[in-house]
Amino acid sequence: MFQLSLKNLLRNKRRTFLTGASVSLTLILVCLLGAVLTAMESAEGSADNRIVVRSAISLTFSLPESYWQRLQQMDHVLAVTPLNWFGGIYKDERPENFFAQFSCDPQTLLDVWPEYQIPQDQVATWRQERNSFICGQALADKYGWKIGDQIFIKGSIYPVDLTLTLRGIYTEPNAPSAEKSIYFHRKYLEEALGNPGQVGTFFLRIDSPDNVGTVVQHAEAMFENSEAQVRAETEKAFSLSFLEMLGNIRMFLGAIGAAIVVSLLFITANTMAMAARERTSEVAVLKTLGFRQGHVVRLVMFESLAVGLGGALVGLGLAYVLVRGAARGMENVFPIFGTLAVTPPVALLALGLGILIGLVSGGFPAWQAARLSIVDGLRKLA
Amino acid sequence: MSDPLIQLRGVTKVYRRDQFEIPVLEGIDLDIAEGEFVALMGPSGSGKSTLLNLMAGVDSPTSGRIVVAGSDIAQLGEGELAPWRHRNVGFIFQFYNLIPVLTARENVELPLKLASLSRQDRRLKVETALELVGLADRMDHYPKQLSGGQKQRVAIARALVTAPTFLLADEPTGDLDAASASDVLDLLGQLNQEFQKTTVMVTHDPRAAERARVLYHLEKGQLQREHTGAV
Amino acid sequence: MQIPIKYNIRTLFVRRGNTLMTIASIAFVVLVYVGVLSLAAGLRASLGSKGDAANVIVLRDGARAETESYFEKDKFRILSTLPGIATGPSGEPLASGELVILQILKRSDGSESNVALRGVDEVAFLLRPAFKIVEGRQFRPGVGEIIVGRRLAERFPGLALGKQIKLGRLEFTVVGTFDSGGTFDSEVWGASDDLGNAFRRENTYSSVLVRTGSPDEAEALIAQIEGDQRLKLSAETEPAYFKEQTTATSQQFVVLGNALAILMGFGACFAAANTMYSHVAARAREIGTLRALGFRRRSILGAFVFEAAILGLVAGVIGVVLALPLNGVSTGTTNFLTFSEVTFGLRTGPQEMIGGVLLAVLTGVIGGLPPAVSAARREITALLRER
Repeated sequence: MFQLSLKNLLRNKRRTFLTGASVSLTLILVCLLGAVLTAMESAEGSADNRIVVRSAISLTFSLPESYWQRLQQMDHVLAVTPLNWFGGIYKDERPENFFAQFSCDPQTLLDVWPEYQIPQDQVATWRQERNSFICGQALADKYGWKIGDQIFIKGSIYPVDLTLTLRGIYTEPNAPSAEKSIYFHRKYLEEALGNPGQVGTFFLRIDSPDNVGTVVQHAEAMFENSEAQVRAETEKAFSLSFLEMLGNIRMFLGAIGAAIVVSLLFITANTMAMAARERTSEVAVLKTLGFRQGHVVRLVMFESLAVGLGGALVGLGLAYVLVRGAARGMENVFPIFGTLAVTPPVALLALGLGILIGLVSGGFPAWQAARLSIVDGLRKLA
Repeated sequence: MSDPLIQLRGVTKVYRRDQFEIPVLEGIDLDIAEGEFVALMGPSGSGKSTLLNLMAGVDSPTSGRIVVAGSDIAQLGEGELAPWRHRNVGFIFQFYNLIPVLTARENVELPLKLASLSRQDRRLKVETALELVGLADRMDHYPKQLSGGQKQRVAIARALVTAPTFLLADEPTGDLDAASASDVLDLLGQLNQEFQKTTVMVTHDPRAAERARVLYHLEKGQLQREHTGAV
Repeated sequence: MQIPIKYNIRTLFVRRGNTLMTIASIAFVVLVYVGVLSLAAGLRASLGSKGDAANVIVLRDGARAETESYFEKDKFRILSTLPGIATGPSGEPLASGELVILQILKRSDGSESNVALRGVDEVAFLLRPAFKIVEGRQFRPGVGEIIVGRRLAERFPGLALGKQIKLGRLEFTVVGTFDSGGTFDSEVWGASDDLGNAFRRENTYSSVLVRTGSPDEAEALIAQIEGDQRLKLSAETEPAYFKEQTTATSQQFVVLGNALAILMGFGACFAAANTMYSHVAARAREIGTLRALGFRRRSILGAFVFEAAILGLVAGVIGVVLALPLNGVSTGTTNFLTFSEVTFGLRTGPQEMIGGVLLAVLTGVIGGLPPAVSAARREITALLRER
């Protein structure tokens, strides 16, 4: 029986191919959009016991250095470290040469990011040398940097240019995107600016995720009446706030995805129906030979399921390859898309859609075929 | 005696199926004079339709000459054959082959679209042809609104409208009941007699064959002149 | 085209189940394509005031956008004495020192974004003739009043006309909404001293907009500013600056739109091909008949390609009509170069519509070509034997 189905599919290879290909193509799109939406909502590398404190006005305003101590004295706070986003230009302004540059406090940075793995001797040299920096393994690989190499970064937000020597390379196996940053001494930047004592963000490590809410509230309250009010939030919320800025573009992407699925349904259902219609007479012959309705229904359904599923599998495979390519292409424009991948839920969704399309598009013709009276079918044969 | 209108000499046709060669026609010689009404009979697969297709210029022989009105169509390429067919052949099919989405009038008008005629000329010719086949009152009907006999008469009008050199009919009554078949044969006979339209008809209906003046029998690729019919 | 057009159109109508499905699938592709193009067009229109080539924008050297630029007001005083700067009605130099500040505000859907606040003085309006108040009135300096870009007021409830809002450490009142014909419609404007005071930026400006007599004078002024070692400022013409701001952001959508259109277009081509193949298969005898009547191969080819093109055309028009309600839908995103909110309306203009229809026709023709070729290439005798 299934053999007959397969033979039928092979009989009209062109149509089987066209149908399968349109299923594949559309599922590729679904996977791509799914991957983008997933990447947008993931905040890789953010720990649930880290808090970010920044100016309540916006990220372009900084906080006084004196807040450092006051934050450190709060209950449940294990460590505090200041970070400033430098946002300079390495080599040229092309997006693929963009990476995150932070001015930091080398003494406390690793207390807040204990998951960074870096040899102790490298840390020691880095801490001593004022114009040195550490970078993630991924970034070092990308540019072929070795310990001792010097790099030049032109200031953009700050009117300061940096000349830095690489003294350490860290790894973070759980968050590859975190390996695309460099960290240098905040003192270097402060001195160049004339010691304004300004900090862009403070990162706090809390003793337990349960206490995060309390610390957030206390931190905001503590500076309520100070010259610079602060906003405190979890690291994840902080990451997502950048995506929030993209606005309802996300909604548009979702709508596009829905439109694609609907048009896919049209295309496939149409073709399936066409295939079934052409075989009306054949079905009649099968029936005169004694095949029952159930057989005929299964015959048609199996065919459309095979096309739906086959198309879905091919589409998934291609999407996997494409998404990896896209991830590589986009990670520098939107670092968060570096994590772009066809995640299991997206893959399952695509597979499910493939099956659904097979079922829906086979359902109607199967029902028609089953209902067909032998006489009508044979008449078409004449 | 003047040259025949259609002259076949040593015409063979071999079909190739995979590695097998199937000879269908083996050295056919045939002369059809102008104004003849010829019937070709023969069992299924005898090659009578192939012979008709060769004369219609929709198929080409493996070897041999097919001279129609002085020109050897076996030598023509498809680019020259299409206009040749348009000028010379009126083709009538077993299943009428009317375009279902066009009315009787539009179906008959179709071949005239190939000629550079004014709208009025076309209209006049179409109406004349439809009147000739007795369908003046059915001009704006679609094929599905017509009976089998009426459809075949529309098809005959379509074949006639370009004033072709000859008519070719492939089982024109094969799909019709006896009464309609008789009507269609009457019409073909009338056209032959009144307008001296040379007509070649393939059929396996003996009653149809009786109407022809010359009957050929085709069997196993060979042609035999059977008898000279009525009239 | 010798085969009558109505033959094609009526045939499409006869096989309407099939035809409608194909039209629907192509129309969806067009809908998505036109939607994304409208996004890009709207964004381009909102960011892309063309600017005046006689106007020069001055930023701190190294800064790529006003939002990351700041310098002492002293430099502004030096700037405004440079030669080549045009003068206003009362003889004042047409140089507008402006303070741009980003403030986090809530959108109507509860999400947050950075909104650009621009502190200006009267001269700013002389430099922007397109600027006009739409509702309410102009702000008065010194009393904490602001005016808000028209679209921004729609999308940020806190910035509606008459609302009180805390910016920095001071309270402001929204007294008007304005239309600047582009770029500034996503901004909040107030007196530069008021905003400077609220954010303790009394002594800095972010940018200076300068008017010169002609594009040539503008170039000369730029050379002079960039050559001056004391200033450490960079300058470029207004059109050049606007263009940089626009392309990066809207380009992403154009790329997205094209990528989607190509991928989905392929899918739709398959649909069109399938439909036309079935049309061709079902009409084999008709084709054979036409050929036997004397129609040439190329007439058959033309007829089927034409049929597919009509299919695409109808689908394209439907898709564009479906996309029309998108026109004017207000949305917003962040321009990551300036790090600030851009609010804009989707713009479905003639260009976007024509693009959509063309895509559909192209889809139809590409999809219809292989079946048309196969129809034209088959032997007449084989076609006539088909049922």
